[in-house]
Amino acid sequence: MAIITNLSLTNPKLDLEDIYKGVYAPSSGLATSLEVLNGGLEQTNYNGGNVSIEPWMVQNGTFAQGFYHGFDRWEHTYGYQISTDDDSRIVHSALSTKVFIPWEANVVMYGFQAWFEHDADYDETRPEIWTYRLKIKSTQTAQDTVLENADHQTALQGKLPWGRSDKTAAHPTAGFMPEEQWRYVHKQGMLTSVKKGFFTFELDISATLDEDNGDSKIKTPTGGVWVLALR
Amino acid sequence: MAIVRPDSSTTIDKTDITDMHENVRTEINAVPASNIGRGCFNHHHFQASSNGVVLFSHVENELDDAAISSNATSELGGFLLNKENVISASLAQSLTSFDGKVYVLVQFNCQIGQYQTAAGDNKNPEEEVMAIFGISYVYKNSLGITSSETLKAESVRCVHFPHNKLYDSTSSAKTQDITVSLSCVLKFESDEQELTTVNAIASLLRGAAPTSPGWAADDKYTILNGTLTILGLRGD
Repeated sequence: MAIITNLSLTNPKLDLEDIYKGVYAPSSGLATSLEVLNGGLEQTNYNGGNVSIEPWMVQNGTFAQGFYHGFDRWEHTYGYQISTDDDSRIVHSALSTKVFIPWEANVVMYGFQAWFEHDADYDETRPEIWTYRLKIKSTQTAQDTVLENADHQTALQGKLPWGRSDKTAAHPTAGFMPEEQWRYVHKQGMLTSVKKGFFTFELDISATLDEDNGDSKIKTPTGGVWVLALR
Repeated sequence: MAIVRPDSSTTIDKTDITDMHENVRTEINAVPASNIGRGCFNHHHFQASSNGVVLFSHVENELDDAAISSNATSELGGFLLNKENVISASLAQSLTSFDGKVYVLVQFNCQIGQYQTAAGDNKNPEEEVMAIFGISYVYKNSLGITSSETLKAESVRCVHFPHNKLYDSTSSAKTQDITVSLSCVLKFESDEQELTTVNAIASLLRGAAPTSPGWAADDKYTILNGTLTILGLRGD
């Protein structure tokens, strides 16, 4: 572990402060302090060789921490619940989470995948459509505040449109939900320079439906969310 | 570890202090790997994110609608010759300052919007038509020579447009809205010099024998909400 440099005392007389800083100065960042072993190890220390740090010496979670939540129990959201008002969109609880990131992360990668089965009917003037939107909140170094980055969020939203139907009738004979219109959605994104703190990942649902179709629903049979923080 | 300390009843001077420090320093600096315990270091022992496993990172979002009208007339062979850049990340990222190999994780996702005529009218896509996506890159080798643009073959994805029997030209019912997601890992040897650019590319792929009503040569499709993320990681 070639990191502690030699101690050079410049004062002509022996000074207690010099000795103190040479041995224990946790906040000084001085490489001569033996305290450098507590928080001061850097790239030099794991460049390889017999005196450097090997991966097995390092505890899991030191450089990377991840979270995954997968589910295979159906979640239903009904048209009766839906609003397009920003504050009233329905949170998809299985595709939402809040993760604590215990250290300043160089990058945080995140994403979700889900199999959506949505009722969407055909209407010449207003075809029905469901929308999903991911909201992320984190703390970035540059702003030092909670961030809701519009660009990152916009890249993670989408539509679940009315799709293929019977070739002779607007409604398929079996009713709603022609399976050809269902979507398997997989999206991911990345933030850089994220500070220690909570990372919130929230997917919400809205829809444009005929007023008579409040009993239309979107089902999610399976899906998952993941967050990976790297130093 | 044996640390030499001043004798009792002698005067401690500067040299004694620096000598003791030198003793400790030398011992600690020379601790061999075999004397280090398993899992004895955690995040408290290392400096902040600047000394982690991430060497470089880059995020590029392209949220506006774009149209892809290039036609790849054959599969991979014609893709690079007939592609359009969905997102182009000009990195000029030097690799020479990193020790060892560098692995670069590239991920791209976007959404296919609509299939259209050249005039921008919505059109019901035929079954012989597919959207094709991939990731390409340009780098400088160990001699500093810039490579030609290379397609990372395992990143390539083809997507069929759903055929809609009730399609009409006035409503927005023809919206496709298919999520496209692809990724790959680029590996660079320790003597390779620079990752110059990374591109998310797209084209249109057609069957050889169009059927009635058939596709038109200048058909296109729209894409939106694209994200390209690039992550450089320390290799072994």
